[in-house]
Amino acid sequence: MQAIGAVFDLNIQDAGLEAGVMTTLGAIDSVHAVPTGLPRIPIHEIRGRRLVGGYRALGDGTAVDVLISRDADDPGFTLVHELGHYLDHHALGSVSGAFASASGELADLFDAIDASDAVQELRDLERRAPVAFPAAAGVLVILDRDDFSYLLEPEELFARSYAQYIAVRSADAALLEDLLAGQGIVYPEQWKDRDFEAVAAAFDQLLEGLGWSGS
Amino acid sequence: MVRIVRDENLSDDERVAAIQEATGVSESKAHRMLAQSRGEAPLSDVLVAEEARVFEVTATQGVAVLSFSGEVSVAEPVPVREDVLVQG
Repeated sequence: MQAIGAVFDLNIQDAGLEAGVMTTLGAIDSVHAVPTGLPRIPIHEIRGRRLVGGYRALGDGTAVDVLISRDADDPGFTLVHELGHYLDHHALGSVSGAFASASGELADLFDAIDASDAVQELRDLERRAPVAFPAAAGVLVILDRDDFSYLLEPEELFARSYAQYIAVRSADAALLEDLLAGQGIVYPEQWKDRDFEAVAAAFDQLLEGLGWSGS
Repeated sequence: MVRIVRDENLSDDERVAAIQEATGVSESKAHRMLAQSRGEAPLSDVLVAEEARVFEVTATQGVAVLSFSGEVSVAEPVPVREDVLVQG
């Protein structure tokens, strides 16, 4: 086993972002380790708000890099989300380069996720879509069915729940602040604290079973 | 896809503020949603290889730019491959 930071080469120029990335990697290390032999990829700094983070891979499953924007409001939480995609793609499941979340191999975790109030509410919104959210001056923000369907994709459910799990179990102040902001969205992109307890317990069991715990 | 309506008389900053007020998302996420509503950013961050052209990377003078947005850059070149997918 190894610290997750050993998997990534940092390509970050902004000192503040670099410090934040190191802190975030440390928060993950406080919760779990990762296996040796994972593909080593860079974390690239990007700018702008049209894409605040990303995990890139090739069609054959090869991991390329993780992107994190210096202009993200929540770079730590976003980074954990993207690293969640990487772990889902290359560290979990029986096939490296395939998303374990979409393979059915994380059944116990997804049983907990699917049973959560947040996911039930997202499914209800998906059924009722399009859904309009009003702002002052009559402006409406309308989310269509595919917006909610996206939030319900297993890869996204895994990455969002992984980010929340790391925030909760590490108790990292910045990650918890980012989580709180995410919990304030009018549709349940993140889980309320009590609603997440069963999901967190399922993550505990998953990581314990993998031998990743106790780093 | 995300749609912003009855916003004809608003500046982009006002649109971002309205998205935040309506949904509770962060400012950066509101910027992203506005870009998505205009087709300037993908609706989904999960892209299959066929959609990789959205994120096609071009490397010039040591700076790689994600083509859908001129403001997005990385510090060092990254491999230029047409079958790159992005998930975020």
